[in-house]
Amino acid sequence: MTFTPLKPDAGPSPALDASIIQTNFSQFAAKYAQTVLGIKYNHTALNDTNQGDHEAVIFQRRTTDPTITQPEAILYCKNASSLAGTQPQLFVKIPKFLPTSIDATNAPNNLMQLTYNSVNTAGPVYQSFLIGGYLIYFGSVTATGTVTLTPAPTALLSAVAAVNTQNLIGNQTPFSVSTNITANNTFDIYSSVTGVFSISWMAVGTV
Amino acid sequence: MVYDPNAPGKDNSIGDWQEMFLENFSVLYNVFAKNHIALDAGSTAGNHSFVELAEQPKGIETGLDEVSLYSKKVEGQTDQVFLRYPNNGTEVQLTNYQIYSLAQQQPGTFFTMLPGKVLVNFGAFVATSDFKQIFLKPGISRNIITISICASGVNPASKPMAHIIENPPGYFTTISLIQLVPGYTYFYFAMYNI
Repeated sequence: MTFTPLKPDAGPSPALDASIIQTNFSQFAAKYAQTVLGIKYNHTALNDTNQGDHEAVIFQRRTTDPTITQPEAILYCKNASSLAGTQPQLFVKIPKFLPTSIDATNAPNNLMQLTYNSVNTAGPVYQSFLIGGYLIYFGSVTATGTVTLTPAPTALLSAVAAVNTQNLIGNQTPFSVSTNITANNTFDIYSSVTGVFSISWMAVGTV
Repeated sequence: MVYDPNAPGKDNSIGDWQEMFLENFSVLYNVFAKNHIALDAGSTAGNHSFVELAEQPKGIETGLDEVSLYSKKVEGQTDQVFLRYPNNGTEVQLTNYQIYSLAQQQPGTFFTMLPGKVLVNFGAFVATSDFKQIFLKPGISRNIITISICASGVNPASKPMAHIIENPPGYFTTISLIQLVPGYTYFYFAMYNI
């Protein structure tokens, strides 16, 4: 059965069109709100409480970016590339508003990537994602050395570290610490004092 | 064509019914296709091609089992995406400002956003005897929340310290640094409200 937008048309008897009309009503309801294995997709079904609301919203992957012509924000799904491959991600586009009196940058309203494929909440290398196609990593170590980031970013942009342990040597001034990016997914942490202590770190790379 | 929710009426002829049904079905089809895969498109019919969130005048109410996602105009900006928690709970601004490349203005630096009207600046700069300041871009910071600076290299001899400068009035966009070592590269993160 298929929804037919160009029916009924003049000519055929209403009796012949009745089934077409019924099919259209049926198909509209069926495509508007689908329930599969107990999961409601896209919209709350007609005649249900809260009919017209959204249920689980399914985004169909697009190949082009939408154009904004009115006051609105647009959410959509498109392929994005990363070292992990090419996968569909969620994007947002808002109207152009720059430059302003405070920010003279004549920036276009380019799409902004909202999501990435994974997060790691188990550690010891914790990872999430930031809007704009960035990955953020964070954690702590008990000694200087190499931190390896997974999933690997395409490029590592910044890595900072801070010592959490009091320096009990001498006049107890804070440790010095530095980082050194050695590859797209690794950086080393150095300290002015050797030993076992706690160092927090944070790094950001591109997807 | 215009959708008529009152069609057909009991006084309309059968011939009129056909035309009314046709018009309503055509409108339903075309309007539905605006944000959805077309009704006659096969297995993906009904899925969203994209979701346009028309600008709302105020936050959207939510029931006990609902979250709402909508757009609202942000002063000094444009429409941004908001989320409201169930039972008319907290409203969170999910998107903020407009991300753009700083490659022309300040190579090696970048910015992104966090929900809650927070911008995050990060990157690297090379200290010189003259260059001892970080200029947060975009320069719209009202309050710098936190700063983290770390020397880069295998010799951790530098302990940089930061001082926040208000410039222009009402905006805190400059971080003045002391105890830098000329020639050293420094990584930094800064988070600020706008």
